[in-house]
Amino acid sequence: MSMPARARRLLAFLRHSAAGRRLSAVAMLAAYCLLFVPTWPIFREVIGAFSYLLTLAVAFLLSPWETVLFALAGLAASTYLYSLFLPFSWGITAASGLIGLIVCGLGIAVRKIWDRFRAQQAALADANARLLDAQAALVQSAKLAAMGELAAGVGHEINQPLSIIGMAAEEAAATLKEGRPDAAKEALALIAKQVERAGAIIAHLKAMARRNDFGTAKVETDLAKVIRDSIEFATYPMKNHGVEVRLELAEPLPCVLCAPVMIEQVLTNLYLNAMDAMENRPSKVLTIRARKDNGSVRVEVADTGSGIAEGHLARVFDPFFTTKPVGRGTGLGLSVAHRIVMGHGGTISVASKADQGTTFTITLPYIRAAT
Amino acid sequence: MGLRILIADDEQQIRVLLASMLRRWGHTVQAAEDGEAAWAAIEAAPHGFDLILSDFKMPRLDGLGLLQRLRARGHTVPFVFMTGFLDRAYLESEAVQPTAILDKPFSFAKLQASISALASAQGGCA
Repeated sequence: MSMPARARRLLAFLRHSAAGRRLSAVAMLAAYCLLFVPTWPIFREVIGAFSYLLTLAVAFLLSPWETVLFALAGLAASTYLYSLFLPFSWGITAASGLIGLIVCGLGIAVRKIWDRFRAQQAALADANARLLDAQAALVQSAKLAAMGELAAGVGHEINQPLSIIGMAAEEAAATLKEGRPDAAKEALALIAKQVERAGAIIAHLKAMARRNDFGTAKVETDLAKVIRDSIEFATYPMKNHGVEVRLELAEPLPCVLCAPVMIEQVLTNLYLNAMDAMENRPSKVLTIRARKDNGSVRVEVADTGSGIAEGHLARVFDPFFTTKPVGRGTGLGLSVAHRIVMGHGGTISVASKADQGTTFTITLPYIRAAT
Repeated sequence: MGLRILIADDEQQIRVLLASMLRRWGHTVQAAEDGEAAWAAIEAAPHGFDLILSDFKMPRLDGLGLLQRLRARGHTVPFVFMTGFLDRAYLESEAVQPTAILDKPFSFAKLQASISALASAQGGCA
């Protein structure tokens, strides 16, 4: 057990157990008695100071009333002892009583301030811990929300081959009945092909699930690879939305120290927002640019969507801010993206023109040129 | 009597298989690869179709867009969505509603049943 832990345990014993409180009261009485033992006149001042210090310490251990009570009892006891050796003096008794009470009051006040300080410190630590928990939960919910949207896209994609397989099977049965084995053979070949297609989608889903960890360790990373992975991750929803993806990567990019999974999450959230913004738009182009820029790698995610209203621009990174209908957006994606990028010592900003599109720009400081 | 049916689906295999089976049932079929192509076919023959079978998600003009455009121009032709992942709550908030929704994947028996139901509801004969 470490020294501070030992001290804390001793203090807890003295303050909170009945035996501890009795012990501290006896210590205080002893201190008062020592104050007036006239056989050691040279040490009287030293012992007096020591006893007052003890009083202060006892004030920390007992309640204010107990402190006053024991201080008075100590005064009575020491006055009695004093009278055994020297003639009784009201002046000395009153003076030492007054000093004792002042020390008591001082001790009580210091203890009150100390207790309040400790309570505030504990409340602050508690609030900090809860904030950290909430932030972790926030990151996780945003991630799960993004995963859900992506998984729905993959689910839709599996339905296509399934539909074709079902129809082709019925087609094969019908053509066989009509005595057209060649047509049946064609339908059966189509089934085999669609099974392969569904298999490829399932493989993608598996890769997606594997990537669903919460890795936060920062490693030397080539952002071009992270961008490619994130795009692959969102392939199916993009296809379902009829979005054309353009990559403009000025490779090789310098190495960035980051948690790739988290940066991928940031990018995925930007893609999902872009897809929503481009729904029902005549042109659906998502452009991802990356280049070296002044000590940083600059990544731009630009869409040709409906744009963000000027009044909303300043609030897009606020938690729970969303313009999507209830049940569609959590309002967490961009706030979490902001937090993640800040946590990497980077910046994220947005520029938007109504009816022309939105561009999100992320910069992450690089550590060295890519090899 | 066969119906005149327009299929709108961006998946070529689905267009081919659907058309093949519908023709087998005695219907006349035309297929379009997206909403715009389907709209072009309707404009070319404004009273040329008794039923439209449309996918929901399609490039250029999606199923909902096609339905909205049809109803806005006063076309009352029965309109059926064929879709796997349609958010019904999302669709319910829309002003225009399809005549029916067929969840993909569906069997041809189910398709036939819903065509018969539509035809009898329309007072026509299937």
